[in-house]
Amino acid sequence: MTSKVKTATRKSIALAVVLSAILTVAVAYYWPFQDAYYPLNEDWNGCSQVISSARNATIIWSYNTVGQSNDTLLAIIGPRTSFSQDDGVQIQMFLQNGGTVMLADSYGSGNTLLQRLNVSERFSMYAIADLYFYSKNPNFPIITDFARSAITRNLTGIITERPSYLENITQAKVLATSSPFSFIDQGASTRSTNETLKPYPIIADLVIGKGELILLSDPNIFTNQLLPLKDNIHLLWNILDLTGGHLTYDVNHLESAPLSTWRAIFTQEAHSFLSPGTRVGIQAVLVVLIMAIALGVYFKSTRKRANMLS
Amino acid sequence: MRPRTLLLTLVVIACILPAAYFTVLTVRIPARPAQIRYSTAPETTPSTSELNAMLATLARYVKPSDLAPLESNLKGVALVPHSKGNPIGGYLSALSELSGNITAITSTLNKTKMALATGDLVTATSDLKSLRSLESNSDSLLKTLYSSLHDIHSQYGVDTTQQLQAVTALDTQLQNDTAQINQLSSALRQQQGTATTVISISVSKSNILVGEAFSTFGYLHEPNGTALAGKNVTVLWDTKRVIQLKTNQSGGFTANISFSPGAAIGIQTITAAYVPEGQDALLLLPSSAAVQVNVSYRASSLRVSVSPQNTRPSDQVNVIGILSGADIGPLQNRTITFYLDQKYLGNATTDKGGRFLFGFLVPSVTNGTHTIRAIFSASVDIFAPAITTVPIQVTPLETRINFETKTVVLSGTKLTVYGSVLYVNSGFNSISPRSGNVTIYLDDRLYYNLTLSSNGTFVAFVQIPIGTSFGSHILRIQYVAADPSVASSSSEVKITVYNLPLMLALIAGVAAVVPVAREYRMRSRRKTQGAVSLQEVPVMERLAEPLSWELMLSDIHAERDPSGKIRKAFTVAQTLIRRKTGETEIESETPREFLHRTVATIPRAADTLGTIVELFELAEYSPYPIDDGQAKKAIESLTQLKAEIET
Repeated sequence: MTSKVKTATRKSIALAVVLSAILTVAVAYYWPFQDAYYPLNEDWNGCSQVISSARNATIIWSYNTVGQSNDTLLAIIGPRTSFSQDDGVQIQMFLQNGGTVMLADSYGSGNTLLQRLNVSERFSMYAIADLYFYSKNPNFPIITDFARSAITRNLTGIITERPSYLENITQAKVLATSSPFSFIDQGASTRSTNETLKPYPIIADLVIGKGELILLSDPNIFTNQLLPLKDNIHLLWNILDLTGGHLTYDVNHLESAPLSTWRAIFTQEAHSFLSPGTRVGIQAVLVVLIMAIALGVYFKSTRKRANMLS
Repeated sequence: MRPRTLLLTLVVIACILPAAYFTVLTVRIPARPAQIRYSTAPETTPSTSELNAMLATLARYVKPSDLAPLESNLKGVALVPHSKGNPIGGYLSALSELSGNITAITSTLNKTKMALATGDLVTATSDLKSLRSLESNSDSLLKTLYSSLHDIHSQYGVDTTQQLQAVTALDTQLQNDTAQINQLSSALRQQQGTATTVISISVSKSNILVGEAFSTFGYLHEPNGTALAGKNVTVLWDTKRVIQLKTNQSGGFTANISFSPGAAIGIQTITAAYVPEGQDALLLLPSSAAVQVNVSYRASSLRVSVSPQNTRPSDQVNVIGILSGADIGPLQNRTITFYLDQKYLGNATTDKGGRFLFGFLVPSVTNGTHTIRAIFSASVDIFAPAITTVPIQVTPLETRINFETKTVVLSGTKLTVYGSVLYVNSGFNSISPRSGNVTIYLDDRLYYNLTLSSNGTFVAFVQIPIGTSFGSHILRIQYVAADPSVASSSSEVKITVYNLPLMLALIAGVAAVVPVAREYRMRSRRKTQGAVSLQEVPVMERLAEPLSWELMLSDIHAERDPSGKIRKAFTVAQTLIRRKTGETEIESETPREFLHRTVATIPRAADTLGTIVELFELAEYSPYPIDDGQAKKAIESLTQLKAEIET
């Protein structure tokens, strides 16, 4: 290989590394989060509005620091992975010390936590639909039957999306129930003759130690698409009011893309360390850099072509 | 593809790959049960079979003995979007409300029974009133239920038999409750055994002045006219004032009352009420009556004058006046409050003759007409409030600024501004204010601030920033007076600023462009004259067949312009030398450098070639015209050069 080719190769590698680094960072920062129930996902299936509704919110990737403070609401929305023994112990301690935990689940992964906490209540893992109390279609039941409590204060109706229901209720106080026309949906949101119409418990809370465990059988209540509808956001505000608006959001048990966690950490750090002005400045520098590289490559190739012609 | 390009492509792909892989990992979302997007979800309404199932289920929940859960379950039906204008929605809503009513009736009935059992007739009376209201409301709800079921049946064709049975059960329940309510009403009437009372009230006059005493009187008796003597009657008036009176032998009561200062004006109500006490509570019913009077205040008059009316800030102004009341004359010991526009000035108190005097120094206000308000607020008086306004004219001393400065300036240099501030009206003691600040603005941007000297003059050295743009700018001088009686003023002048860096850049640009332009002009001229440039010759020769001496010579002769002939002669000389020695022209070298280099190879041609070069330089660079003699000399030298080269 001649020295000219070596130099050109080195330049190409350097250029490719710079472009690769810029592309990687840009993707990490700008690519929207699309994971369901993810607190940084601003799309319809994300929970970014839950975070913005809190007075101050913290996203956690492990429970190591949860037990240290009890003046926050630990929100576990749409968990898809099982809770370990260690998770159970940390949450048990958090509750014993007076913390508040909101577990919103319809897939049943939350049952492993309930098992660890040694309570009888369970998420049924069956979706329910409603023949009449719904919005748009039976997949979106409207819950209007509320018991009196701080959590259901001033609520008239909340919209759910294929919620499951709570069963084995012995200690918990049922706070919200579906309409008498709801049924277990065994497919295609149409009712077969053997599906009974009856009210099902949707929200319940129980006291554990000095703390409170709130169970909601539908995490979709808090997604960006449903939160602004009916009184869904009032339900969230009522729950947040229990801890003065402080929120800790668990993403450890969400099912997400392989690099979502690292991207979330990177984005959070970038937001905490860099002021908005600095971020804009960095973006401007990157744009100028890319343009400079592109123009450099263009002019170089033009000059080469001219030389070859002459 | 060339190997080098292929290699570079592979390297680039290898390096971009991590970013691409990272992107894939970022967007790869695990499979999960599909969430349903609300915004695009289709809208459906319950089918006939579903409505049948609903109504059948609902019938199971209608339990007249325990309707509270049904009310709770159905009360949110108004939130269901497809309930509006739908007989099913109306039916469910009415069913929920009726369930609530029946539940409330049941509990209230029990409460009323308890009240009657304990002799709490007041509570029982109140409860029975509520029960009547619930009963009436429930009747209309029942009608709604029946009509809704009829509509559901006719509109959807669903079977409503079970529901009709359930509603009939509720109807029966309500009839039972109505019967109980009637029984309780009878029982209450039996227990009450009480007589109604009648009370009346009158006043001695209907138009009342505040503070004026007037008499109120009335009677308390039974409907048959039997006077109720020795009973306590309460008279209420003036919002919170209360008096307890005892009725005389004829049931009459009387009192002299008055409305206090501060009372609201207009129509007021005086109420007389009788509430039986002790044993009377079991025998007599309460009663009340009211009479209306028109309440007003006595008129007051406030006359005010100001001296002087034309004034300046800090001048003393006196306000004098007199306050008098209608039919009474001067009002003494009353407080008059004074305002200048909205600003509070102070108070004065009226003397025995209702007169007052108030002096104040005119504060710093804008030039023009201002208003002095004298207010008699009469918040605790029997006289009505009075307000009088008097205008005063405030005239601050106008000033103007005289100044001098250069109107053309270079940016980056200092501009000296000197001048003085003068009163516009020279009739005052001094011609200039002696204090205040002078501020200098360039295009509304503050550049200099200084204090006015005691003789009213100022000198400022304004540094014009180096970056000030080329062109016209406004230099404004503003005088801000320290004395409120003196008006501020400002003056401005247009100055032209020459931007120094721009000037330097222009000079440099011109210096750079001139030689280039000159060179360009020269080349253009050569092209138009048909001359072959020094650089073009070798290219021509590479592209064409070598020209013969005769052809080249005839080409020179064909040129009409003498300077063109010389240039061609020089070019041909170069060609001859190149053919003979192989010495080619170098693009960057001057004709004279070419001469020195060539002479080293062919020393015998030094003089001849020197002559050609000299003539070429004259033709190429000299501004003077070239004549035919010089051209002829060049051709002769060229012929001689050919001979010298070839020997």
